[in-house]
Amino acid sequence: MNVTERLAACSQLSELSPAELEALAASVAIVHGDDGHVFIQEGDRGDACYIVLEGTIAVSHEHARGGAPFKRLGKGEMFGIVSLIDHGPRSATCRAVGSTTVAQLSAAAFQLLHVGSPSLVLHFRKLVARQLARDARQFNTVLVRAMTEGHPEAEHGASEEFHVTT
Amino acid sequence: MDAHEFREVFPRLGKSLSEHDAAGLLAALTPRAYSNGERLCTFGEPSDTLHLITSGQVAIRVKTGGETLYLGQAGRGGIVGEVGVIEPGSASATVEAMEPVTTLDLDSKGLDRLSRDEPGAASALLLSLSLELAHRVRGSSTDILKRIDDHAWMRAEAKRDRKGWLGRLARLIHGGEGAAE
Repeated sequence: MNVTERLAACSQLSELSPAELEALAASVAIVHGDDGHVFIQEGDRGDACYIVLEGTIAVSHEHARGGAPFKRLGKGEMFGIVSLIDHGPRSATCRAVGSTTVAQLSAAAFQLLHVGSPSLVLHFRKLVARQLARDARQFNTVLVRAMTEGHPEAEHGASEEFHVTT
Repeated sequence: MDAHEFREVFPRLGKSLSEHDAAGLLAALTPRAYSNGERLCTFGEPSDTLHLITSGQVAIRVKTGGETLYLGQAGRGGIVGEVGVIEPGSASATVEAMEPVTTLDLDSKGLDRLSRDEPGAASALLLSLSLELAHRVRGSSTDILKRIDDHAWMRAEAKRDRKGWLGRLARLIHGGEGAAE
């Protein structure tokens, strides 16, 4: 499978036309990571975002839960977006779980996709907004869990890993 | 409301909109009026609508597990429902009119229509909402997940002031700034 076909196989990218998928494919680099490979290190400057093509990404904070992941991302999910939008440091560490392949979109390419053809810009912004909306919704899950537990220190509380279900 | 006034009332959104796009977005928005006590959305119930508040005050609360957290208020220029319009699902808070309130609403179908008819306006809206969501995700991520997992910190905070702790947690996640009830 070429890059375009691999991107087309992600359901999250289904709204993109063949020409738009080609344009996205031309903007990304395919990066492979073995189990444990660190794609993003918390605290680093954000220079790229990623789309999972194959495998799983575990997201963690070094100083929380001994670095154990708090969520996992699968095929078609994007990660590393926040730093590219607000230009702050990476807020979490993203590691490969097993053999994982991602499409890497550099910060420069990310910016270019915001000024390309109107249709591509729209679809790309929709992808980004949807991922952020899912991420924001997940944090609400943490809040609800903390509230519904009789007490926040209850066993298996908000520190449980929560999975992306979309 | 004309495009010029719209950009003044919603400056962050307006900043990314050309005059033409502001007019396009404005045409896609549905003016709504809510009476005192009426809900714009209810925690846990389906929500797919963005509400741009043009007058009046709303109270934002989360109620679950027998506990109610007051997250703050929003008034003219305030925006609620950003997550739902992009990813329809259950509302993450209850938003209730504290007096007669007027809004400009856009549901997810309206966003689809706007995307088709006025892609420039839809793009600008999505960028503006993404900036807001990124801000919230970073705030939640860095301040909350580290602390919520730090049991010693959590125990101390919860013992001292559980309601206050939950309130701060909620406000970070929702981007609210109001005081706890």
